[in-house]
Amino acid sequence: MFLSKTIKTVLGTSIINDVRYTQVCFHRFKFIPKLRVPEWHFRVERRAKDRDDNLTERNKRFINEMSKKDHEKASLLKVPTVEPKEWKKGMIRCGIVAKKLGYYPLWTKDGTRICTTVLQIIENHVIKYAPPGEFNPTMRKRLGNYNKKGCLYIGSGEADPNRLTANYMGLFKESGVMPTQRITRFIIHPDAALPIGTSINALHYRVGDYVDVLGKTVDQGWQGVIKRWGFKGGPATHGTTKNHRRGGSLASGIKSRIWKGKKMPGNMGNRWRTLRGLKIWRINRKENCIWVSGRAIAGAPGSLVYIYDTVLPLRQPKEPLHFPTFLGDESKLPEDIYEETIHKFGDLTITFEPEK
Amino acid sequence: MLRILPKNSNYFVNSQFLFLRHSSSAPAAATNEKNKEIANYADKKRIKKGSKKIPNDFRFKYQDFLPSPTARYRNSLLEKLMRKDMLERRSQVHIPEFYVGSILKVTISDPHSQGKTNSFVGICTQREYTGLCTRITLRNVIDHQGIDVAYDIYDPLIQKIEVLKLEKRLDDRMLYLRDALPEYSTVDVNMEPELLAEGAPVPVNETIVKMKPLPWMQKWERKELKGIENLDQYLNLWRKQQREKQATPWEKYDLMKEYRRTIPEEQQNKIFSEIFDRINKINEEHKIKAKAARRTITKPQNIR
Amino acid sequence: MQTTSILSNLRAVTSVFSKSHFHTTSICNEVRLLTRLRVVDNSEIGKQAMMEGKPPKTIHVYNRQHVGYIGDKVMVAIKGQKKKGILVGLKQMQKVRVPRFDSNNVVLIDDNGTPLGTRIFVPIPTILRTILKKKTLAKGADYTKLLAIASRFV
Repeated sequence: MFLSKTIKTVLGTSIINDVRYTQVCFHRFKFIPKLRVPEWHFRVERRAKDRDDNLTERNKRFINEMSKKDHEKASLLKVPTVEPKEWKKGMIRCGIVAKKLGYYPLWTKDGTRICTTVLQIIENHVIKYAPPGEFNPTMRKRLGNYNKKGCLYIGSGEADPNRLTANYMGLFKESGVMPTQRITRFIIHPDAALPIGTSINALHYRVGDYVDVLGKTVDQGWQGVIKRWGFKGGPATHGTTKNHRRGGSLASGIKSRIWKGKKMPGNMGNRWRTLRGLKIWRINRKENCIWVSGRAIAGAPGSLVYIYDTVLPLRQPKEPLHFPTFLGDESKLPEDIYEETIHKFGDLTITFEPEK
Repeated sequence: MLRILPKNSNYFVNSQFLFLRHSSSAPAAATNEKNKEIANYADKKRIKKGSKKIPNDFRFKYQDFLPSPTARYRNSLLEKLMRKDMLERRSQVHIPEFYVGSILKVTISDPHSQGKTNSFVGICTQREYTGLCTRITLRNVIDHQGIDVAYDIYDPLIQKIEVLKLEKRLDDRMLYLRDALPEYSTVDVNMEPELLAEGAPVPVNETIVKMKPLPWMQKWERKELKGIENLDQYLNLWRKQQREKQATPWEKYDLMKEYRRTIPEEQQNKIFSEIFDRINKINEEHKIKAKAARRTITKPQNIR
Repeated sequence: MQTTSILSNLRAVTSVFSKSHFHTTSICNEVRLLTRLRVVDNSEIGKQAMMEGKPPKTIHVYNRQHVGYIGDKVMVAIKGQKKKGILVGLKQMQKVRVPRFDSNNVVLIDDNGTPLGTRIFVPIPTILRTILKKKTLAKGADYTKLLAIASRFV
């Protein structure tokens, strides 16, 4: 009698890679246990015991030479030309993996300062494309009809091939791209598919458009209830015994048990969080950097971050986006592209006309 | 117990802490001739072939170009982009050499005032942050009212920054002027700039300041400030006892702390050699402009 | 060690070596209920109150957060009477280019915005021009009259 619809569907899916499903109780509960998503690809780094760190100098040089040859092969990759397609509202295109660099102030033409974060777009190469029928993820989120969406596998960041497992490197064999630090899956409209080996750069986005940035928050470790949930704790004086930073009452009498999701001490941070609707103020195409508004992007400076076109309905682009990616002539664009209202540092000092 | 440092240690970057530190262990004191030889060789090795000889005062003059020493926020690309933008802004506005304790006049485009410009003269009491975010606070007492104004140096609304009196003081942060007698913060608004001879060292003004009675805005007695007169006369027993309790006399021996507060010489040289040519060019251009401006002012008029 | 930047004022500071385990924020210097202000014009009531050593106390700040900013209207208790005033200078940390004064200054006004005094002896921030113009348009009373009696702008 405790098996409801929810359990049936959960247990109905395939059990993969030691993931244990806990018993969900009544469907009236809003709390749904957050199951850890199993890793869809093989282990990335070789274990310390398997690694050959104690090589002689001669052997190290030999391995470097051989990996250089592989690199040369990869650089000779011929990427087929992509044809630009018409973008319509609702067609999701590929995202980007970027590195959060840090805070950067920008000023508008009327003198107000904008707090921005610089995101450096590290090497992003397309490794694989899974068309709608092929892509079948284990965790189904509320992203609409999966049967109609494809998946682009994008590799980002340089990695030392000597440290990677053979299984993981096998994922790159087909594409011929040098193995990367990370592979990300972006769920896209089938028309947004890019050929294997294409590299995506900062010009994929435009100045003035809005993006969502997903990052993993800084790990604060095990934290108490005051820091983690903002509780007020107990009084500091007036005879309080051992109740200065505690959570107080856990539940009231009706159900005679504690509700699921009760705020208690635990691990704080190290969670994926998205900031929505961040405006792009400036793009540097030479260094592949974009300046995005705000400074609260999850993660420490230097951490990797995922950028998507915004989902917010009131921040949708008015002009069609570069679809599937920017395919124009880069050299025609200036090195630094600024939003209209931004004051360029090389421009004259801002002055106002005196009142008459 | 770990000593908790403030999160944004940008606050530590000031001229006092910009002494030269080598990223590798420094060569031993050159007492013998042999040691001298070794020291010279080590020096030569450190200076790469064909690198420019950067004058010693660059790290004081162009303090803003040095990044914040907090390792967490260091990023070479970010710093490179910032330096480029800083040079661009400097090509429009001459940002002179100044220190905490110098008297500055800042003219800004003010959308609120009628004439659309506004100027403020005051002593520079502190210099915060680095790079494009560099901020200074000027203090003056006008009509018996103490006023502090903060300016972002690289703000595009700033039309001019003039140094009316270039000098250093005994401390690197002079916020204690708020609790000092008003005469020490008063600066004549119509002051004429005092020029120093070119190449002359920056004078150190050793005036010691008298304080108002308690209460103060901060516990100045705990901050090891040299520019204040005998503080004990203003304090009560409790404050003196607390100062002894809170004192950290071991800090001056803490090498790692000093290490974390500074940027090594090699990195400094690298940064300054990048900007060397451009910044010298910009300075020359500003000098020429200033000369031309002076010429137009002193043009004789025919009065008939 | 405490910094005086705006960010640090929002951050809590713990003194590691002190006996008491109080968790305190750094000094905010806000103008809120019961803050004593300094009357800066030459109105009779203001002059007498300041001379006696009984400066006006804020009873109400006409603001959503009830924390005053430059140009905010306040209700003040002065010499047993209730008067309105405009905050003309704050001790609180200000934004860039806005001057910060060493005392919380107030200029007494009546309901229509006409100041009770004829002169303001202390410099006034120029940002007041813009703020008071906006307030005048919004409310109906003319608050810009006090700009006319100001002697100096900063």
